[in-house]
Amino acid sequence: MSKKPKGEVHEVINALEHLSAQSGTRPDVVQNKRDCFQKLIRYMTQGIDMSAAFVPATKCVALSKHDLPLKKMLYLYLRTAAKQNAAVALLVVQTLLNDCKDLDPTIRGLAVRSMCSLRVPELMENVFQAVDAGLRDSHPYVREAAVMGVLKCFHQDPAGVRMRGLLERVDSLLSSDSDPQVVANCLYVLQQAGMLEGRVTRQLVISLLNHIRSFSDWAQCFVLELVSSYPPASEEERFDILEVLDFGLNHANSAVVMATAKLFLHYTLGFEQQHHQVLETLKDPLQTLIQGREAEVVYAVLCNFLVLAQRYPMAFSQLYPEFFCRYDDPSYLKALKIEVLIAIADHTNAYEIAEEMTQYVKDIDEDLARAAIRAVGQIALKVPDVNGILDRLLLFLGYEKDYVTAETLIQMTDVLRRYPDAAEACVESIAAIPQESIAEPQARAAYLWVLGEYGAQIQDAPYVLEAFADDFSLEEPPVKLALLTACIKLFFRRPPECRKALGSALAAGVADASQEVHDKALLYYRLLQQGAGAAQSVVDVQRPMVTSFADSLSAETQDRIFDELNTLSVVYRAPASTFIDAEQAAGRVEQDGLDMGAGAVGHKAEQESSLTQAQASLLDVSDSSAAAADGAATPPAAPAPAAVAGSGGGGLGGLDDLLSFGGTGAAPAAAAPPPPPAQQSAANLLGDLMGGAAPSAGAPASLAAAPAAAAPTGGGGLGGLEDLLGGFGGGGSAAAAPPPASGVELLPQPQLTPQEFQQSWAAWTPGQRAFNQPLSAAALASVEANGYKDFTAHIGQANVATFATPREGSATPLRFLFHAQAAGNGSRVLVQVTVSKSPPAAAAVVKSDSPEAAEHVLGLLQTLLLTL
Amino acid sequence: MTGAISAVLFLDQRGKPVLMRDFRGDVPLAKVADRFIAKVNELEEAGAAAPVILDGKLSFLYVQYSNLYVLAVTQTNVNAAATLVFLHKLIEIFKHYFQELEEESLRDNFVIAYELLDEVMDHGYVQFTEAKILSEFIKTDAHKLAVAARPPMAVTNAVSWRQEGLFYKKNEVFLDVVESVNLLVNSNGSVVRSEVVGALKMRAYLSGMPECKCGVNDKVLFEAQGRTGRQKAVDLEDIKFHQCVRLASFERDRTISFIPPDGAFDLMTYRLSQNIKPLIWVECIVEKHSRSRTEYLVKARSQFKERSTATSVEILLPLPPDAISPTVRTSQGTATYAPEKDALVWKIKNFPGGREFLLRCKFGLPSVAAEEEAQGRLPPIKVKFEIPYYSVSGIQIRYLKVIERSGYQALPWVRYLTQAGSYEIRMHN
Repeated sequence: MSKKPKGEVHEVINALEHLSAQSGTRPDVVQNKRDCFQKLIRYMTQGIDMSAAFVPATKCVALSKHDLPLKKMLYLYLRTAAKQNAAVALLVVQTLLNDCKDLDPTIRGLAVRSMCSLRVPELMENVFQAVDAGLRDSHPYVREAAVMGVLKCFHQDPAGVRMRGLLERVDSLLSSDSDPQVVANCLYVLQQAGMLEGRVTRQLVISLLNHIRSFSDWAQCFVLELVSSYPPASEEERFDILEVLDFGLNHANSAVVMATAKLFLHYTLGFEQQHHQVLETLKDPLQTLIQGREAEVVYAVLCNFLVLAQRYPMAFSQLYPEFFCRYDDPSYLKALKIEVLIAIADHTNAYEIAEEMTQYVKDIDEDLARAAIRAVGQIALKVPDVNGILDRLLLFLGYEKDYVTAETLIQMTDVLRRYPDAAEACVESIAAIPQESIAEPQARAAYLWVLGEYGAQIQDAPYVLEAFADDFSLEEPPVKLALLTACIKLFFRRPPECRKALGSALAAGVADASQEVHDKALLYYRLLQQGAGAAQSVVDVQRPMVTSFADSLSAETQDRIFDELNTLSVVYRAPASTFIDAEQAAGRVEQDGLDMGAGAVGHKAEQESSLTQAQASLLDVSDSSAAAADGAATPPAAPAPAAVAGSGGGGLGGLDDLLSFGGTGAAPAAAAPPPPPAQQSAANLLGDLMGGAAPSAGAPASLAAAPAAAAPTGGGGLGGLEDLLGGFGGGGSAAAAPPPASGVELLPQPQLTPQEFQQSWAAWTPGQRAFNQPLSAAALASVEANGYKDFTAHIGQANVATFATPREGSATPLRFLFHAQAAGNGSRVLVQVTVSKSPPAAAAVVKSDSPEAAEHVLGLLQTLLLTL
Repeated sequence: MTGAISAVLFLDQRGKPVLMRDFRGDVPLAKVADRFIAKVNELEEAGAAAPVILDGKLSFLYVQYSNLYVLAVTQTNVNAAATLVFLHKLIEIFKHYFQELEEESLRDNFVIAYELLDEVMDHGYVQFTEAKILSEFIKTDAHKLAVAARPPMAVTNAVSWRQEGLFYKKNEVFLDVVESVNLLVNSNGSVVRSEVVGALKMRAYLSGMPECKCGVNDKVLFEAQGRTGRQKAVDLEDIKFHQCVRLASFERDRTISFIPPDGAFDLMTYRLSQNIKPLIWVECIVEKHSRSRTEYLVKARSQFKERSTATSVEILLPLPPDAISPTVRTSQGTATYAPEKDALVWKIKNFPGGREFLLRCKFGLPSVAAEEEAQGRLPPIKVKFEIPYYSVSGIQIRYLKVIERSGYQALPWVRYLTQAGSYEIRMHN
């Protein structure tokens, strides 16, 4: 392979040399040269290094310098060749500078653009010269290139650009140039250089709006976006602007329509009546866009529309037929349309939408069918008083397709949690499903949940459970968990019939390899040892009816996304800060040595969303199997046994103690999920009770010290619950905590900017400390649980603040950054914890300007990781 | 767009770059193609592929066209809709230059392709995307152009969409009123969605700088003029005009006045969603005679005026994929079995208004196997047709005037055409 390119380079060089020996003005020679250059560029496109052909190539063009196509091809060649070989660029700079003074504006423009794209540091001086002249050029084509050139220079040499005052020149062009594209480019440049923020004045906005129609579609989008962020001085001005921009809603370019829509919505935010008028006006153009031909564009439009639909479901509820899928729609459109339908479903249209979904359930496309079933389930939850929705789900059970049955079962359990009264109608159909046609673990778990809850009404439920229990070891962990709960619950209703199933399930469960299954089985076993009555009071409690479901995104996040309408944020359903580098956003392209960008910025968003994360949705819970919900439902009834246990670990800690009561000791209640919202108050109550039981708890002890004590403290993965209890005066264990040995105390809420972090991280490398610690599988699970929030909250107890976390669902190794600040001398401590999966372990690197502080944090971390 | 595009790539079906243009030098271009295709494959596997993909900090926005992926890469928070519209625009421009855009034509014309990419985008910001204006900059001979290098004046021109000094021997302007009917009929026979998307498509071959005026039987206008009742007027929704139309004068007195670009363009588009009777109604009755013998009885009825005739009518009737030896009889046209589409294609060359034609089709199904496995939903019946000299909305061009300083007489030609858009009738269960 390496020989062939050489041959090609030679072939081209020879031909070029041959051609440059001939008269450069003869048309046939020029034509031959063009052909030769085409070949040259083709090779280059294939990735062959053609920089060796540089001398004959420039010579060839110099001899026929009036041929524009040839010149263009030379520039194209130079741009690539210069990157491969900087020396080449230095040789050609004179030609380029000459071209910058050519009579033909096209050549001048090309020369300026090409020079700025070379990216060779040695040439910067010449590039500045060319840009400087280009900004003053009489032809707009050259000015356009030169203005963009300023930005290119700015990315390479910001100091040089500042020194020469080029940005100020661009700024003055912005208000004086007559060519719309030059003005547009000025806007781009100033925005990227971070100079536009204070610049959006009334004067600028008015002048841009007066000429808006002369801008290209793309520049119009930009201007509209810019004006969206401008606060009009008066109400009059606000509505004047809206009037001027009315045309945008009827623009042929979808992007302009969307940009106008955004501006209209944002401008009328404080004016309810007008806001609704705007929504009305938007319907028509949006409808057209949604029926557009270009599926990809429709996708982007629908992503935006979904945000609007979730925000204003009422306004769009009558548009529902627009979102019925065409048979030929790509699957991404179908999925999105169904989501919109869920968003706008209300009592006026739910029946029709459910009817339409029924059609999709019969489709051969499994993904579509499942999405449709989920939609019916969600609509049933959302729109309570419409008849027939629940019947749909029952109807689906009769379709006798395994995946339809599975998905329906999963939806059904949610519906039953919301509407326990519906059970009578459903249970019979569910019981009639042949057990072997339910293959998916989630569906099996859902099926078992129903058996456990409503087994009293199902005649052969105990025997079905028995069959499951006999094949216990073949099931997936979620199914095992569900089975354990189902067995024990039904046992309380129908003891004689269920004894066998419960017995074999418990036996198999205790012997199970999965920690979670083992723990649950053991818990039930010990509870039963205390007597059936006691166990029943813990396990078989009245299930609180779930009345509302938490939105998957917090209100703040949704507002943020609404603010960022039209951007990628809407597509990813996450604010830009979660996927864009702060550095990038600020317009600086500095290399990020630590490569922590997304996480660092993501932190801010995470703090916000953590507010609502605390109220885990019911759906989350059902995710981790029905059994988990029951596990979490346990605490409210726990006082009796916990009191027996006597040690005030708090919440689940109590249960934990209960477990070790028997003597095994090792069983941490690790992977239990956070309690659903409905239980929180109950848990508080429990915490209260516990506090009462352990009066020695005393005043709120320093939380930082709590983990250091490393007493048989419970909590495990239940950071959330522990926090909750912490608010009540700390767990009992805290009382026993010795004062921190090192004398270093950490500030509760240290502040640090990404820049400081980076600089200090690099500077403090000497003297860093590190340790490596194996983790149990359960501890690993609790790190990953709840989007790392439990873990960071756990670490946070010791006043070690989270700086950056991996994106949720990232592959291991997971990298976390923490920081802390000593209360006394203000010295900072930076920590990087890397959690790897196989083998499960955590490695920490601690850096600080104070050795004592570093030592202190190191100790804290070791304890915290041990107590995970 | 508040963000900028880092690079534009054209990849073949396997993800190998055919052509790439790095605009900002801030993404590792060598790895981008591999990362992209790996991600797309991964998502397609999971059935979750979408035109916008996030991979780490890189966002991929792409359009699949013929045998190519047209891909924009960015690490800023770009306007998703605008970027995807831009990619489509780019495809349109390339088609304008190479007739068809595909791997081959791109490889044959990569020099122009590079030139075009250079002009449409600078440092990640879209510059010019009007094919007409671009031709001012693109001088490579593959696209034959006048040799004399004129300065690109169009950019600064007051009328940016039209060059000065055009001359035609015969001054003509063609205006086609093309309306597409989108229809969705549910399996119970109820019309779920029915709408007309219309466009006034113009081809102008006119000298100089002509002033054009065009009038339609617009309801708003008629009401304003107090001419209600007698004359038929249409109530158009979501009217959109080409940038050449003076919106102010439309707003003032509903006249459409403009200086047209040279050649073909869409003067106006509109939508209509009220009271549209399905033009061709198809009903399919499925009779299951026995476990293995099924019969379709299909009725196709034209529900427009008798003086119009639909042409090139094609009705696609879905059959179960395991249908055996279908036999078919029709009262009009020909029907053939297309196994590759799992469908029966019924073609009727001329279908006059107010008529009804029948089709009978018998086919077998494998006796046992198919019966047990519940059949999935069959695809809908799809209908294609064209009705010339007919506008379903009732829109009429009342006049089309061309006035130019030199005073030539231009010939206006107006045609109407109604055709099927997405026309789906779901099968009975």
